[in-house]
Amino acid sequence: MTTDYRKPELVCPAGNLPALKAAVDAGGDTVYLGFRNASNARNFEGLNFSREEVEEGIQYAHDRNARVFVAVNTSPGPRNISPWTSSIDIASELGADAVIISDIALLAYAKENHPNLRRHLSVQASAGNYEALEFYAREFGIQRAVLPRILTLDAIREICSKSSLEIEIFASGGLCVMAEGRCWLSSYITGDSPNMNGVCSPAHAVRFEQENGTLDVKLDGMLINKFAPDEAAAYPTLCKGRFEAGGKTGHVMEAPYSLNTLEVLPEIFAAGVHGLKIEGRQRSKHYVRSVVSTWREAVDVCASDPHGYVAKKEWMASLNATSEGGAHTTGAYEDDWR
Amino acid sequence: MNHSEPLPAMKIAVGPLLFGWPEAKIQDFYLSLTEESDADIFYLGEVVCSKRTISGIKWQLKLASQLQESGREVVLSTLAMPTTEGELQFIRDLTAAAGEMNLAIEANDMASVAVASQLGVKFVAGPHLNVYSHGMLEQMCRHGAKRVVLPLEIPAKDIPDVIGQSDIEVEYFAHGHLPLTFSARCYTARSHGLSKQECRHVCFLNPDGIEMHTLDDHDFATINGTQIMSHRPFTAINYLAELAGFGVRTLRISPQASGMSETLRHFRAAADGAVSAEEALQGVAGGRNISETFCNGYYHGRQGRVWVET
Repeated sequence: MTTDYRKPELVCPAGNLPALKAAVDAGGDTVYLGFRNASNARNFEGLNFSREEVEEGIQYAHDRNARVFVAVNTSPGPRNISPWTSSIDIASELGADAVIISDIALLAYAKENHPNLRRHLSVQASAGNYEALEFYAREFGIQRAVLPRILTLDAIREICSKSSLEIEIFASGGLCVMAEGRCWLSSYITGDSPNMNGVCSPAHAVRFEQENGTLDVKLDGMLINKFAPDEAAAYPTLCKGRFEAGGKTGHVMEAPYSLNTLEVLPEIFAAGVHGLKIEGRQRSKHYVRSVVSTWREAVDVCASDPHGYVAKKEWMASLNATSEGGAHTTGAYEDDWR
Repeated sequence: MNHSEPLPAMKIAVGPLLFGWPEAKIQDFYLSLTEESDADIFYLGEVVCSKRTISGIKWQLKLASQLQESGREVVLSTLAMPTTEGELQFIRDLTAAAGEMNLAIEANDMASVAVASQLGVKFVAGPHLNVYSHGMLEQMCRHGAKRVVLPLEIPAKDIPDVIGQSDIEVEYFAHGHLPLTFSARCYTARSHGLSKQECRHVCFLNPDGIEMHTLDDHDFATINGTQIMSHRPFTAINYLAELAGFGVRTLRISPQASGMSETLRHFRAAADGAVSAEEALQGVAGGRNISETFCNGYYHGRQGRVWVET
């Protein structure tokens, strides 16, 4: 039996216009971005796009045969839904190639008001099986779904074969170890959550304190990590902190590794996914340029010879050098991680 | 809060058992509550990990019919993160059986909503379906929800806006360790030096989960397999009049290994206005320092872990 290999599209992050241009220039097929409000899951200070910037970004991308997806992937609260619906309206008006949505009330809104705008299901919807995906397809006419980072490659292959949808998976960057959209750890500690506020472990709650030569990291006053003087400290995401459980101290939930799937790229091609997503809208244009360049080369090499493909050492080194924890994992994609 | 004013009738629900227990213990737990409590609703079924459902659905259906015979409403709860064909089939079988027994399921994933809606089985939209807005609530009703459990982090004052003009029954997570998140990784197995594949059902050794605390020894979380819960139980027992005013008609008490029937008794007394809010709160605390025992930050739109004095 011969295996079919699908060459997936590279879906690249942009937190601002310079990052969008860097992603397109470095060979990204598609850029995803969000408006500067709580309507997207990377609602960080100094990040994201105004209407004018989205317009310019879409022009820049379309002139170079690249696409732009607009993320509207948090849940509106009960009162003022207009930042969410107007984000969808503007995305449609400016000619975005798709909107990425998690909330079904917003999916229904987009379907009714902008039937010709492609609707993608956000990872924030936590749809990790084909039964859920077909429901979203049937009821809300979605064309693509981004899978949560809790599935093995076998499970992804099965979803690709049984689902009528295009499937997009996370390939690189920060690793959510929890089911996105079903995690309230951040609001439990800080009051702000990805679902309601578009943030996890927000910067305003982070404090670094020197304590007898060690660096204490506090999130809203709660100690979530301690670093030795010679130890590199990554951004203090709650689930990657050090805690004590069952008499053992350490990274109880996950070490501060980044996701890197370069080594399993032929399996990803064989699974039949349509999109490879690179995380990192909060990162700089230099990071985006470097990571997208590496991935562009790797995807092209794999597409030309999937059997002979080996992840090059310099690609791995380049991704490790820019990753937040300085080390990588294939996460849930491989069974032994679980 | 004046406890002499009659509250609208509130139903008390025993939520699905979230911890991993052997079947005999689960059976004893639920059956004893039919004798020791007058809870109106029993949710029954595995939500967290399919590896705990070792002997299929038959024994669960038998227990469900025993609970039904005691005159209570029974709801069959389903898995929160199904990813394999086996897990989907488990949901289909359970939903079909629920239909035959004229029971509803609790949908904790859109897969369960899909299956229930296809089979014409009523469902309760569980707390992980993220009903944060009236639009979401309407979508759930449109697909056959008979009741909606609100997301845990929603501020109580927002509840009336979520309900709007809808007459659907709204349930509020009113007491217990908060189920904060799910992962593909089993943290109980990990803390025993095992993988999820080779877990040997070690969660059966930890009926109340495993405590996780900070490096300076402050309480934080409870490990429950692939789920992380709050270490502190949440309680809203002292806000039942306000919750009733906001439109909540059902109160969920999440099971734990000890003190369940006492907690249910305190909730019933408070819901009936037989004791004051303060007396009820002292009752569930059982002599423990309230602000060091419970959390209620989510009720007030604050950090979930804090205790806010009235």
